[in-house]
Amino acid sequence: MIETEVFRALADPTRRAVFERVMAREMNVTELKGHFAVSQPAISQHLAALKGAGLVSERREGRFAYYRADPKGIVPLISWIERYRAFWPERIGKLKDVLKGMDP
Amino acid sequence: MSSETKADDTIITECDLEDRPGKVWRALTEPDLVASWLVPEDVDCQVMEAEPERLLRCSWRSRSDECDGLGDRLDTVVTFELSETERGGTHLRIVHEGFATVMQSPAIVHAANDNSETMMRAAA
Repeated sequence: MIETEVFRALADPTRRAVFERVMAREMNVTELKGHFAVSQPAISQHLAALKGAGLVSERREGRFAYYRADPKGIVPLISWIERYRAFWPERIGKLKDVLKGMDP
Repeated sequence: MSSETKADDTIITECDLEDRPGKVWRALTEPDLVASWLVPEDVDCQVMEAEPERLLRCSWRSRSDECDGLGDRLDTVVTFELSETERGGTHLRIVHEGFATVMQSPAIVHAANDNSETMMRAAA
C-alpha cells in the first residue's frame, strides 16, 4: 500500500466521513447515502478512492456490495500523526534545557 | 504548553519560554545547538524561509536512504513562529503540516508504475 494514497484519500472531508462510517460497521452504498447530502455516484467515487488507497475493502453479495474499513490501511497516517503529537512537546522540553545551558 | 491536531493534517504546538526571541532564534538556527535538541536522525530538514527572530519554515522529510519502501515516508513542513511576550520572553508556535500532501517525487512515480494493480484500483 502506498502511504501517499492514504493521505490523499483522507484529505477530502466527505471521504474522511465516509471512511469513519464504514469504520463503525460494514455498509452498502444505499445505507451510506442516507448519512450524506451528496449523490450516490459521489459516494461510490469516494469508496473507489478509499479502496484504491487500501483503506476500505469490498465484499460482494448478490447484486450488493458491502464496504468496511480495512484496519491495516489507516496505520501509516495514525502512526505519523501520533508520533509527532508526542514529539513536539517532548522537543520543547529539550529546547528549554538547551536554552538554560546557553549564554544569555 | 498546548497541542492540537487541526484538519486531520496539521499539528500545532505552542508554548511560552522565558528567554527572549533572539536567544530562541539561536537555538533554532545555530547548527551545534539545533543538533542537540531538534532534528531526529531519520529526518532531512532544509530551511525554506527565514525571518530572523520571527519565523523559520523548514521542509521535514524522511531521509530517502532510511526509508523502508514507501510505507514510512514523510514529506511535511514545519514552521516555527516566534513572538515576544509582555514579560520579555518568547511565545513559540510550531505548526507541523502536510501529512496529507500528495507527493510527486520520482521515487513515488517509479513505485506507482511498478505497481499496476494499485494504479488500476486507484483509477477505478
